[in-house]
Amino acid sequence: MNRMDFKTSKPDPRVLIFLVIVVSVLSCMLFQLAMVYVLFLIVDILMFSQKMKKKAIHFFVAYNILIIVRRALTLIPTYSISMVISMIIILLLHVIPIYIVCFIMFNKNYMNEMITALEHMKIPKTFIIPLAVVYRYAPTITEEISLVRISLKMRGLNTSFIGFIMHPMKMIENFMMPLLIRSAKIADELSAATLCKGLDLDNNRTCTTKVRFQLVDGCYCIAFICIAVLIVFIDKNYILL
Amino acid sequence: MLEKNQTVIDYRHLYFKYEGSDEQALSDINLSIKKGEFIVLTGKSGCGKTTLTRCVNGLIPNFYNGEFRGKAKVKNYDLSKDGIREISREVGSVFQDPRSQFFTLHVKTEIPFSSENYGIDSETIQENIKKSVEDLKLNKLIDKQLLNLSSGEKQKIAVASVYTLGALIYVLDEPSSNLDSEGTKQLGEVLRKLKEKGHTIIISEHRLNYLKDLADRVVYMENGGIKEIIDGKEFTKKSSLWLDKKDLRQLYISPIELIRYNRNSKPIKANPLLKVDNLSFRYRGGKYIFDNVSFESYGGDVIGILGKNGVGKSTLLKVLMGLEKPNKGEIYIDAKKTSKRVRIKNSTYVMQDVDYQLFAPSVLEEMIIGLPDSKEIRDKAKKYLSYFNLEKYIERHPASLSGGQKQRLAIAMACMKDSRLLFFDEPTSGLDAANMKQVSSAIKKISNNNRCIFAITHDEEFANLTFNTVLKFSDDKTINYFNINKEKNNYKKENLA
Repeated sequence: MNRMDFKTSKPDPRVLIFLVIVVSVLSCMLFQLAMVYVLFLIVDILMFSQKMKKKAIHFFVAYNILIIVRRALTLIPTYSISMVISMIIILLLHVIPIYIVCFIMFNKNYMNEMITALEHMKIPKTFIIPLAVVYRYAPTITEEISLVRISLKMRGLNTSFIGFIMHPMKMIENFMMPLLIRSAKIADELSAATLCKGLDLDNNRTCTTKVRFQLVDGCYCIAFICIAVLIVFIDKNYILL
Repeated sequence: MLEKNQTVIDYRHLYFKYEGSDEQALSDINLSIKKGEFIVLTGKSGCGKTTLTRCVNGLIPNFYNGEFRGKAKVKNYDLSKDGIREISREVGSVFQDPRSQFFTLHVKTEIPFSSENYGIDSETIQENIKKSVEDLKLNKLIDKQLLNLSSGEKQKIAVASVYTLGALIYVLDEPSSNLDSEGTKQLGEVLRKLKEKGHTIIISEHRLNYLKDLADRVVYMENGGIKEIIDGKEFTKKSSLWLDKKDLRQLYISPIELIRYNRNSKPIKANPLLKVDNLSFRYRGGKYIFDNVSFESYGGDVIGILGKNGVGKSTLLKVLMGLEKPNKGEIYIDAKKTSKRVRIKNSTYVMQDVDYQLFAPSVLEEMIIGLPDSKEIRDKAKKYLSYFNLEKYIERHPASLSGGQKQRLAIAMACMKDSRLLFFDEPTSGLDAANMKQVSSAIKKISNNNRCIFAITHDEEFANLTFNTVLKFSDDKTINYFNINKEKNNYKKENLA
């Protein structure tokens, strides 16, 4: 029987939360799309190194396709449509790096260590618990949506992207009802189960592993800040592509 | 230290009515449970057994509000005064749906979660985790994500979480609802271990066959009250007729015996309705789920689909229905090759969890979604609703129906579409005997010479009642027709009462 170890996972959960904040701020601050691309490359390589190789490659391909499409749009004469799509693409290009680091965070951070880390920072429980619920529910939403899609498809209702553009309100209504019913049910059951596991606002939790913010974690954070500052510097002072 | 026969739970003249409800959910409950007892609560749907389990962990009256009267003591706690948190330190709960009872995403973090919430120090928690893994045999599961476990494994983890906390009373609400026979067997073994270690267990259930050797007392409930309390050993001797009359699931279910396929009656039409030729399918980058499968189905067929959990039954359905394209092979409807689109048009799918299929604000509107709104269609809908005993609920919101009623509504909705192919995915999971029989007769009623009905199921009683022919997945990735041996399979084994 393999001996079980209870090592705290490194880096400390706060490091990845900090990373998400840094990347989000950076993404909003940068002027040049070329620098956003650099940011994307950095986080994608990070994702690749964290054993999420397939996903990292998918994102890489998708990102480059978006850039090519945007370039191609400048050649299309229909001004208004290409403007709208172009703006959507630019928004996506800025959001994808944030999404990537959130994905890494969800994957690497263990729930109980994250709650403990946030408690150490004296963040109130009223904020932590809803956050933990979102964290717990987020991975299941994609599955819920795909099940609703299957059901809509079999009922002969349109679920394609084009259908969404043509009748957005009807589509949203079709999706919303079962999603809301499912969410209400899950919320109810989850709340009851969680109360029976003793989670509440007043009492202090302990943690199975020892969560501590150490020198190593501090070094990671400083490294993030240095790289961020460098990126902003290049963005402001040099024009690329 | 508790003495061996000390009373741990005591209800005297307990009454409860849910807020906003007209009916009394619990009426005049008098029950005393001693340490180490294994109590099974059973009865028809709506009899109050789930409500009574909520009175063990304190969810009633603190989470589910309503009129609460009478005396209810759990250990030293008074339900009307003490909170869920205090009571749950001594009472561990396991719920019906494995998907929505976990707070974390990993096995490693879920097992100690409740212990952490109660402020137990980390050394003790680590010791307890090691003990749980050893006693409940969880070595293979400890490093996995909860998402990737089977339903049976998930329920094991739910039990492990309580075991690690060290609570001595367990309350379980229909824990085998979503489990197949393998999962149910695993759950039964875990419960046996808990009983051997002296834990007190209260479990509400429809499916009784996996509990028959464990129960000390069986509490039969009806309309919110306790009708009868039967000694465990006496209960195992009850005849199948007695169980039938009380609308309870059978205690002795002989496994389905499959014999060689033999098409008894000549098909009415010469051509098969559905023909599957050399079908193979795999997901991108994965192994083949089934390979070179060929079979024919004729109008009027009602075919069960059986196989181990995870073997690919739902995937087969997806390919037949038109949600996926096969890698190799063809599917013919009425001798014509079909594309995904054609198959979707000709198919109706009733999912395991009907909640994903309810879109409208009323039952009647639910029936006519996707169809043109005319008097004819409305009359047709009303006719089917009364056929399935749902005419009382025409104006109600579909989400407010009970589990059995939703299933019948889903079948009624399937009838509206008049499809050639009807596919059911576990239509009886979580249903009591009465509802299961209704679903079985409904499915048999709607079969006609112009359609084929396929149903995935692991419910052996239901399969015995409903199908003559089954498609079974074998380990070598083939799927073959078999008949069910009806003569040898006398699940109505008469035990002397």
